[in-house]
Amino acid sequence: MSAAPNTPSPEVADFESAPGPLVVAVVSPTSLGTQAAHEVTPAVNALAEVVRVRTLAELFRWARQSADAQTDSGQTDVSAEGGADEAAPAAPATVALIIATDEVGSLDDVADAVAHYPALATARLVLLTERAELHNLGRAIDEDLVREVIAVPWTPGAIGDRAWAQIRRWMRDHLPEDDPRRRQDGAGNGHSPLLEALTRHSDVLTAELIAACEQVLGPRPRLRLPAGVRLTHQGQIVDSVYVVISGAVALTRHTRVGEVTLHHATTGRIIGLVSLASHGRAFVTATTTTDVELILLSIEQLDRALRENPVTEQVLAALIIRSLTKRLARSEILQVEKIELAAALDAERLQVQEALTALEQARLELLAQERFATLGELAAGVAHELNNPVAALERAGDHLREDLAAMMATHPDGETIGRVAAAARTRPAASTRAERAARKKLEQTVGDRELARRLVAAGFDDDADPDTLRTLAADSGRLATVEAAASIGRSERNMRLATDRISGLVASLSTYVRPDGEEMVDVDLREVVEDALRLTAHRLEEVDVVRDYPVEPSALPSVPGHAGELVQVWTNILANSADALAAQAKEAADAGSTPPAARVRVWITAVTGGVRVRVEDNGPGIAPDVLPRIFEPRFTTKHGRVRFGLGLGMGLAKSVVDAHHGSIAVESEPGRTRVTVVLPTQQDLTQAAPPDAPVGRARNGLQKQSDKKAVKKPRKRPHKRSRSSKEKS
Amino acid sequence: MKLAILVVEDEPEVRDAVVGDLSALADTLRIEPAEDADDAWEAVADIDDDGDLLALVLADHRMPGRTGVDMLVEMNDDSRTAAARKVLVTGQADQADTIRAVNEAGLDHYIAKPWDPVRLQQAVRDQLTDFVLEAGIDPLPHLRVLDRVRALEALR
Repeated sequence: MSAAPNTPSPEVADFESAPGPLVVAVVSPTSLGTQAAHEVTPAVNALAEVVRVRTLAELFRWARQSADAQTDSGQTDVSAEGGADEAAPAAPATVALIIATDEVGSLDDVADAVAHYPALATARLVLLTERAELHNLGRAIDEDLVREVIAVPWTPGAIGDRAWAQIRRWMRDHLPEDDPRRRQDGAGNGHSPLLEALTRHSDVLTAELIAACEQVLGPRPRLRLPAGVRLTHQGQIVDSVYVVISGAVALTRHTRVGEVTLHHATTGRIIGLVSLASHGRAFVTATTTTDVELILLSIEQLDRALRENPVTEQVLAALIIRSLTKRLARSEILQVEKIELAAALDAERLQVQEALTALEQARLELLAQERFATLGELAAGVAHELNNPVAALERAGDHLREDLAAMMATHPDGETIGRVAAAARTRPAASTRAERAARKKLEQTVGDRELARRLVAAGFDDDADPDTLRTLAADSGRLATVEAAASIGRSERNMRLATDRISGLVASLSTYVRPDGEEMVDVDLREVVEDALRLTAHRLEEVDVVRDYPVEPSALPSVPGHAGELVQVWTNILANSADALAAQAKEAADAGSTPPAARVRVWITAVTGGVRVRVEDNGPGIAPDVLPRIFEPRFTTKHGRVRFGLGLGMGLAKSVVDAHHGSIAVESEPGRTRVTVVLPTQQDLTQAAPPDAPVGRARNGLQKQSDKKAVKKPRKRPHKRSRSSKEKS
Repeated sequence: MKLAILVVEDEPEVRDAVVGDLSALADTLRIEPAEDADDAWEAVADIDDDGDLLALVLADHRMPGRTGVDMLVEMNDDSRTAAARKVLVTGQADQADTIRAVNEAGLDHYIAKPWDPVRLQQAVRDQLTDFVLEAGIDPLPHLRVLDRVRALEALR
């Protein structure tokens, strides 16, 4: 709904401050209009001039001319003191009232038009009609244009009265307080006694009511009550009313949530009357809250007073209306408050819901961290427990060799056995293909397949001297000795390789310990990446791992960090690559096509102020809609799969990198996904961690480090590759 | 004609260990180590060319290239290998792989790493005996590597 035309707007404010003469426009094509104009003219004579037009079009033309006059007269003249005096039209005329008959057409058209003419913008409209039903005035009423409907024929003089009253109201609404025309009062502002009574104060009305009753009933005794007296009880039958002369009474009602005060300041002066109207039972409990003076009237007494003194009726009605109006106003305010409260509650509930979600998320995160820490401890424990048997194995192997060597010193074939065993010990494991080929060649020399096999197993190849081979083949005892010696050497080699592998795994697992207690140390990222590769080796079995970084020591600067945490970064990254590549292979296999050979490249390079590690795979890539989410905590595309120690994904990687003041970024397209991590080589110990970095470990670590003024040496571990054929260098 | 055992295992140390544990049978049996599935097929061809008979395959599951189970499935479709007994020797196959191995590869036995050499030898004897009895081969030349009681009972 647009603003009502008669509410002050900046546009009309100008001529409100100094309006020109007021006009009553009578619009009618018939003589009815003339008749109306004839009657209105004397009535409004003192306040406004009457303009008689036959059509709306004529009215609008008049209004346009009026506007033109305003433009011509110029804004400077408007400030001149305006008045009803036509001799000095300092400001353009304003139509205060339109009296139209319903022959002029749709009133909605009028409503549509008035807004366009400043002269008409604040006009009120009185409709003259002969019809019993009216249509086409929805908009006119909606915009507060129609003020009165007068039926034709009207009582002589009535239309003049109405026009006068409407002009007065227009002046009240639109003329400034100090405009002299406002004070031009006329006679005949005829209100009913009831409407008149409504303007009086409650105290006055109460006194009048009591006086009116006492006129019939004789003097009523005043009851003086202290606070806390109940005048009515909720649910009790009511057959009398209290008229409160002074003091306060509260109305309360018992509800499911206890005693609720419905009214205190808005109780009104008559207690019990509403109950009379609602089946005679008290709707509320009325309790005095101060010292109270009142009179008590039984129904019969009130009835008699009403019957015998007409004044009683009016005053009572006025008091009741006032009281109910106050109560209604209060309940309306309460209703609004209730709705506002409900909205506020909804908002709060939403906030609580959000807080709860965040809490739950935090809980899950903690749980995940806890699980992770437990796994870390477990891994550390297992690693520790493995150290003993591995050490024993390693030592036992060495002792065995020494003892064997000591024994061999006195053995007749000791020299041969020692030589063959040493050769077998140092010979790298041959491929089965090569051994088979060697055996086939030897078979041609010695003429026996089984013998050839034994010779190959004993370490002879096709280059061996045929005479030696034949001599050996002829001496089965010696051949058996040589075979056993080779087997001893081979076993020694295998034992050493196996214990080395276990040692490497144990060392890698050890870095997986709970990071809380760990101090920042100088970390060689190559070792960290190697640890991660070793820990994910079982998932990278069919992947060609390409290492692109220098192997010589001190070729790369070290970075301060928690090795254990950092290993998790690349374990997660590599596990993701492994999964992506496995998924690609499976998809290709399902489709019957050949996937590109799975490959993971790892670059480690020194950059300004840091070390950059890039891990790139040639997997299917990360979907663009998923890419922005991969650092979210616990985000995973692997539905319902929890992986041992690796279920935390990139969110964990990011939090570790953040804690190390580094950066992590992921670029991805089909066939190429690259995760780049840059870690700073130095961290300014005097500078606090950035506000968004986790306050916990990184700073604690720095603190401890600077306190102790000692930096733990990097873990001493030869930088060697696993000898497993599963890892390709 | 010799009965042959194919040992398919990609890690040399583990392969050596299996072959070493079977060396007691090496006089009577032909033991062919292979490092992957392709190599295994080459060994199969050799065995066939030499007129020997592949009786048993001991396969690791996780290997570069085709897995052990894949290889055993293939072997079911080749006349030279279809009748051979098939045993998975692995420390890492998950349940789904194992089920597939039983259902599709006609897996006869499953040996977990690390293994007990006595039980490994016993398992090999059992499998070889089953093979000999099923194939209707005269058990006598191979008696050293068979379960004697069962083999001799079959002769009666």
